Amino acid sequence: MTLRCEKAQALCQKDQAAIFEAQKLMLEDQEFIDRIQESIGQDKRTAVYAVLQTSEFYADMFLGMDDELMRSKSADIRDVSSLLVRCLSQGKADKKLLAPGIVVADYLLPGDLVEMGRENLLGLVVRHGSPSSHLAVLATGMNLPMVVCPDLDIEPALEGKTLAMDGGEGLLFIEPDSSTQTLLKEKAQELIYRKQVLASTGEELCYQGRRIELLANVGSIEDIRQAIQAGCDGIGLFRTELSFLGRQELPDEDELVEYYSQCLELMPDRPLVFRTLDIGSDKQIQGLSLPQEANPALGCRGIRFCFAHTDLFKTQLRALLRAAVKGRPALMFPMITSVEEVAHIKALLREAADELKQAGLPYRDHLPLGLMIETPAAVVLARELAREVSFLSIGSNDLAQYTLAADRENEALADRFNDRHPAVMKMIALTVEAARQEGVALSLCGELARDTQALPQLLETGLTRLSVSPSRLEAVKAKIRQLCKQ
Amino acid sequence: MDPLGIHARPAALMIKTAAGFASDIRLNAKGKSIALSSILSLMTLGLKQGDRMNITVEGPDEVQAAKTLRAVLP
Repeated sequence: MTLRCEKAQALCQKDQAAIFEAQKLMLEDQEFIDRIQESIGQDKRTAVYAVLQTSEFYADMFLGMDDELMRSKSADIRDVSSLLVRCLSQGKADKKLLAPGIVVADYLLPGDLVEMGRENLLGLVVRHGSPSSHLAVLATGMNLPMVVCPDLDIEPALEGKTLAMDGGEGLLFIEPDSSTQTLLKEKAQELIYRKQVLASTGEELCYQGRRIELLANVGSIEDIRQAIQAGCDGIGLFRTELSFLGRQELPDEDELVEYYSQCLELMPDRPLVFRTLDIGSDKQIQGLSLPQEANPALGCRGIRFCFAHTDLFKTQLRALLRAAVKGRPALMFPMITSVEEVAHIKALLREAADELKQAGLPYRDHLPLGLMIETPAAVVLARELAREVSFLSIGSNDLAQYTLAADRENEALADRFNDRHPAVMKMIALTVEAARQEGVALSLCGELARDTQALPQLLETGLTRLSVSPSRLEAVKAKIRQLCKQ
Repeated sequence: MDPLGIHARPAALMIKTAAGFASDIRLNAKGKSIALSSILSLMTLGLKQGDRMNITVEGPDEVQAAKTLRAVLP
């Protein structure tokens, strides 16, 4: 009983609202507990019955008062009691988890798992079960790590402890040290990413025995629908800035959560990479007057803009973390030129997650992170950058512009701006090699990928993941099939 | 006293304050005497403005407890 009370308290404490203080005191109330224990001990009632009976006893007392406000207190005691019943109940009560956590149980029926649902459930630890049990099969289907620990002592003290698990190895860590935590987090990111790739649908494209993944570059929900129709392995680049452009006011956090959630719901089992705001003085947004720069392409754009407008950036990060409970998105950051920038991004992400935690809003943390390789600096530092994240993505348009020192918007330079230039190809090859050495995923999401003439050369470098606009998916697929046959 | 009576939040404050002391603290009102450790007992008394009550404090830290409680009374 005490354990159940503690559990309920833990749930209660999550809510900082003052009213819950009183509810918490009710839960701790010795008179309340005594009555329940008496009902169980002397009257031989079940715990659930005892709680409900006691709750009604107090609710009746409140309801018998002549004051409306006091009568309303009956709702508080019933609320507290239903929380207790929820904890006690092994049966049909609502089993949804109220906060993200790992469920530890002696034994679980597959039905229990289905009722709990995926939301907030991070993993399962059971004492009885086997990797071939129905429960395990179901957990695998739900993409949920599960560990069987026959010797685990399921004691009240487990509640509130930090648990970490490695479903692949069948290991459970109680209060792991920070290096173990880091290791496991990295492993998890990697696995999530691989799994998304494996979950891809449609035909498999190959080139020289390597599986080639074809993803789509999109900027709207309509684009995603088009990409799904055309058949793709996922979304390699979602340009989030498009929803900020061409409107009077900036979208607020809730609006963004709604928008990103809709996108994720369309792509439940395939990767979706959100690239954070890539704007600068060349792409003005209403509501923000950005100073004119002599050289916008070399100015405050991409991640630099985000660092200069952290409120806006963090609003977007919070929205992405919140929407992430609807799926498994990855986040990608544009215009990276140094490892320090990555550290700063991670710090801001941490802040965003902490703010959500404090606000008591649901969110998913530890999303796979990726960096755009679109500056020569990023190419030269590709290995160092790769060590910080789960994946890299070459933005060939900007990489060509910065490598060739040729403004891609300048018509006079149209014949100089050639993204098939040997220097650009060499930059790509260097990045492919760096990603291979560091063991991170790499994609290419620029115009170059849609250029069917450039495809043989690109695939020769060892690139296996290309992202193109939905309208080009068919043509690129056809070209790869043709190359494959040669 | 608060014209609306002792409701959840002030009651919570009184109980929490009382819990901070070792002394035995009781509240007497409407012909009943309750330990100021049970929020349910306090709330089900249904005290309202105009009701008379007194609080007795007995124990090692009774002076400080009485003083602190007086300060948080609604």
